[in-house]
Amino acid sequence: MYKRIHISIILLALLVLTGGLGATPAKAFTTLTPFSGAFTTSVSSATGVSFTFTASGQNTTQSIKCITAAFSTIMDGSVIPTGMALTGVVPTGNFITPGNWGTAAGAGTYQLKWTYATGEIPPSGTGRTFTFGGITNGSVVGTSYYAAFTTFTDASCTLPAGGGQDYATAPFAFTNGVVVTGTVPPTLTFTVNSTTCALGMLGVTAPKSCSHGITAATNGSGGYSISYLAAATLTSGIDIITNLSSLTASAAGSPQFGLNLRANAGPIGGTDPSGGYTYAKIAAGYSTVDSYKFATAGDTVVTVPSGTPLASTTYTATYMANISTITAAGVYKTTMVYTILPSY
Amino acid sequence: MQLPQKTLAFLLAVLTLGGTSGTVQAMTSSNYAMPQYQSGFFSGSSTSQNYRLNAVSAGVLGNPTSSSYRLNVGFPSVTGGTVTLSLDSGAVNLGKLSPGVPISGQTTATVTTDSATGYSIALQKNQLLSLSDGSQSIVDLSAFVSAPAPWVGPGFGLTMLSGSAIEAKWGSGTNYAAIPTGAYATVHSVPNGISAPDVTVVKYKLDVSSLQVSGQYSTHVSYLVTVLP
Repeated sequence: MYKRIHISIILLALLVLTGGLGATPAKAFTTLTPFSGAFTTSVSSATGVSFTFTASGQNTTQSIKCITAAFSTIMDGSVIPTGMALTGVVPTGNFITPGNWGTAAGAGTYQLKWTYATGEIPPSGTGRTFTFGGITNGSVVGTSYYAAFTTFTDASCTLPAGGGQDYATAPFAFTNGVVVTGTVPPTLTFTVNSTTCALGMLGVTAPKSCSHGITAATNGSGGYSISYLAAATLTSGIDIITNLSSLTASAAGSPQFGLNLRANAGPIGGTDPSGGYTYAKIAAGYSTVDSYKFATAGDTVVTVPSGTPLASTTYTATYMANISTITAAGVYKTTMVYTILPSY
Repeated sequence: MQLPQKTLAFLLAVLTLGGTSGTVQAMTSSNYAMPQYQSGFFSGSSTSQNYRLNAVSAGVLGNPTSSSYRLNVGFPSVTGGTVTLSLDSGAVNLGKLSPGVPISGQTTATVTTDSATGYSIALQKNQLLSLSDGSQSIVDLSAFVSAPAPWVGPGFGLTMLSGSAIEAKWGSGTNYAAIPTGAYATVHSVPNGISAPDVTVVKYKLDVSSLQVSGQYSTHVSYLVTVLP
């Protein structure tokens, strides 16, 4: 009777020594600490994501030949988070010498594995990193998952028995993030900086001119156009000074009235656009130095096309007039109305 | 045959610690998880020239040693078991902007973790605030997360408006910094365990120049919560 009891006790003790009644092997005793893990982005379902383990306390006496990274729904589990996918990518970082390590088939979709048959001893030092990419993030947000990092002393990823040499886990969760939006409404500013423009005493020997500024700015990306309307050419009662219906240079002694938006020399007056756009935006009939045009029905003098970089620009409108010896005396004038039309 | 009394006592102690059958159970609560394989009779590893023992249990703790052996026992400590982050909304519309009059909005981030070492929140955005066609964008503030500064627009940035032990550098929500593009930067850390969901309010602020092209600008700000090592 006593002998039978002794035998059963010994058998049970042997079971204990050989693996704990068939239970799953324990994880390695050496736990990396401090330890952390992070994605390059935690946005759910993001692709091309990398993950970095940052570890300290690694075993620096034993050569390792296998490293595994596992992502699971429970600690040390084998169920990968929903929507998550892993592809083997050669690691980087300084936990090991990356170039020595090749990818190997993991134990399941939840695991990545790298091996180096020769093996190497992880260098000492804290904050050693092990980074790998090829991850598609899971699709479920707000749930805590686990990333496990394990090293083994054999290329079959089984030793030391019981779960490896160095081991640690880091919890993680996916998020959707926040889409931040802000709206910049369209704006338009337009200024004609004078309500009068006096040509002075006109003569037959030299042209006369006067100028004023026109400033336009908009944050619309569709561009804009500036046009003018005029009831008539320079008029005094029933007398007129003939307008230049097409681009024409000044000719003293001939009745002429026109305008342009350039820096002129004959007569001297005006400046080229400043502050943003160049004269390239000025309409063809008004962009030639020393030549002028005036359309009594009105005309477009500036066109800024869509997509043109935004800039506040000051244009200078210069009016030029000549008379002949038979031009009737009088005070000649006209009224100009400038309009700007933005495109949004 | 007589079994020595000391030997019998030891083996009985083994039986007491290990139970009487092979039904070793995993143990869990809201605060811990102990897998089945951790619930054996001894814990850790013990080696000599003749053997290596990998076994588990909490029956004995510590590292008893002598000239002949060293026995590592107990449960391996694995901290930071869970962490979650929830945001009050997936979209923040800052509204319409008149140049020179900043507009703002905020996100409430709630973190839960059982980590005893605390957690950190890091942010990044995928691009500058940009029109949908990418043709135009709004500049970031010049101040970095490492050194937030009082608001000087135009630009887009953030501040930590409220939360647990918000860092002084945020000036109680008056100092702002750019949200880094394409790389997370830690904006707030709580270096201790929390016993309840921890709420942090992140405020975004935006202003533009009068020359900023009109339209709706957007960016995706992603949050990363990490258990502190």
